[in-house]
Amino acid sequence: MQDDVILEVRNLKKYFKTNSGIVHAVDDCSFTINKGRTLGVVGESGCGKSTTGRCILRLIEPTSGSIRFKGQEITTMNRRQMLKVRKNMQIIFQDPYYSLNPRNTVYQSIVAPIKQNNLMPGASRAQIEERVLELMSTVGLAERMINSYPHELDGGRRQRIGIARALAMEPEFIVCDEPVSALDVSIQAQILNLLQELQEKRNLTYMFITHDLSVVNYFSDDIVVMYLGQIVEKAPARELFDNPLHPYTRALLSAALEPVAGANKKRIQLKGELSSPLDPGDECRFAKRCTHHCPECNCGTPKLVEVSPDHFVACHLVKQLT
Amino acid sequence: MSRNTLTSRRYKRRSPVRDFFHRLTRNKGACVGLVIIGILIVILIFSFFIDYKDVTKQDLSNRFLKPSWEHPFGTDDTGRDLFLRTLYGTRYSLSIGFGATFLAALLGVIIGSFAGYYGGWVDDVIMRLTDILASIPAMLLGMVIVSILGGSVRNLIIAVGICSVQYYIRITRASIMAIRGQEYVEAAKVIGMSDTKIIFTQILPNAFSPIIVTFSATIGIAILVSASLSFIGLGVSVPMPEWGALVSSGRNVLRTAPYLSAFPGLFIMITVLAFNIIGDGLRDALDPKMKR
Repeated sequence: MQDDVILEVRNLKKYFKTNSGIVHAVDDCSFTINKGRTLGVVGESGCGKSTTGRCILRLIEPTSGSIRFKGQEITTMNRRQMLKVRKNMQIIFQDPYYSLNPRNTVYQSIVAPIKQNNLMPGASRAQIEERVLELMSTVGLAERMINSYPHELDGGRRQRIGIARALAMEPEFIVCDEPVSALDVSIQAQILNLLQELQEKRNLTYMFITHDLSVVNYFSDDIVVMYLGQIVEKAPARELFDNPLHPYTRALLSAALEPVAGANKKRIQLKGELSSPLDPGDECRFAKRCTHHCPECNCGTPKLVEVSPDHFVACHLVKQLT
Repeated sequence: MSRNTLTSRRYKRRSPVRDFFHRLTRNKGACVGLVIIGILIVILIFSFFIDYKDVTKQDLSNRFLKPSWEHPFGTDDTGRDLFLRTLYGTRYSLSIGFGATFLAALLGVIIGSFAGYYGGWVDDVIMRLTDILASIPAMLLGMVIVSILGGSVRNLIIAVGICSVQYYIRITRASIMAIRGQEYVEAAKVIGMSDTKIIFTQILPNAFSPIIVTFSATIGIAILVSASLSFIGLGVSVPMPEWGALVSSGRNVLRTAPYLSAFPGLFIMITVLAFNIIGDGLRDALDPKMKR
């Protein structure tokens, strides 16, 4: 697992100060991603998945922790150094209705990264145009849409523009922040296939943030399950689906619909609300909703423990669960 | 022929400027406004051929003449021809209205952008200073500035401009705060754009509609404030036929000679109206989402 690590996140924390307390959006998260692989990050809304992704790109400054990209520590980098690194890491946003400037045509949106970073020094306008058309065909956009404005296109096509824009930088690593959750199911599949195709062709590394387990199963090599800013389980995708250990992961998996009649009868239904990320106490954050709740759960935050090779769980009752 | 040239010809880029004019000229209201402003500009040019002596020439035997072919707008209390005076006054009203509004917009948009984009203490400092500025009545502030700087067209522009700068700071800040959190702003950051470039190329163009509308509305206000200052003797010096000053000077004889206030007032009204409908037209034309 040590070979070819492209991204290494250690003890990442992001706290937001608000009037009513400190929000622990991301609390002590650590993981690594290997080159050419996909890490799926799963969790419900507000669990800190997107914040983690944005911290890695330093769109949000992390409170503490270390992020090493290709061996370089990026949390301490200044603007100029960060610019160089960002050429290698891009992001695809969740909502293609908001991630494209409504005043820019498809051409302008895709050409912006090329011009901004002078990626084609000395190229003529026709050469740059050719490059944009090439990127468009890579992501499956018809050439005739080059002068369209985003509002003239549907969600899938807009998302393709977002992907083309990210690819224009020729990145090695892309954070996909729920890239399909705003799209129709039929279009979701197209975009996922496109992303997978691109990964195979260009040996891309993805951090794939989603709340949809079926998507993550289709897509990921490794999966991280997050709950209220903390990683509760981390395992290779197959292992996680075959042998989920954490009660939260089990509940999540049982909530995913299976296309078999009667398969969804034995669902684990979580009771209660997501507890507040405001100044959480030193206890298991899932305890209040947990089906296996016991007094032990209120004593200290559980640590990630390796229960089998590469399979980590953060639960006090880990011995009972395995 | 290589494919490069083929594609560049086939997919001719839409010119944003041409698109904009296309949308603007299809808006009938905006066309009317443009025509009125065009006429005003013709009048402005024409007024440079008027001899200033004719404008100030007093003829006490012909006081308070009603509008006639000889004096289309009538004559005032010292027998001066109001038609010539009104035409001559176009330059003062337009230059003060435009100048002050432009100054206010320039300052206000820049200051408001930084307040809205950075938030936090930058925002606090700027907005509290704006509050102080807003708490002083515009007339009072204008009076203070003009009496410090002295009365002239340039100083009136500065005074009136500073009086309306707060509108631009507020409106720019508000629209930028709404746009700052959009994902396309983050996307611009990811591709390495600097904050200043993001403000000017990504955020401001999308925040423009309210600013444009404010612009056209404040031109009217600027003309009125400068007229008020002229009325109390702090604006352009008395013999200069600024429109607002003409309205004010006709006020005393409003009952016997209403035309003395009415005609310059009509000019002010039509000018303000023209700027307002152009403002509406611009807002629509600047928005690519409008149906073409």
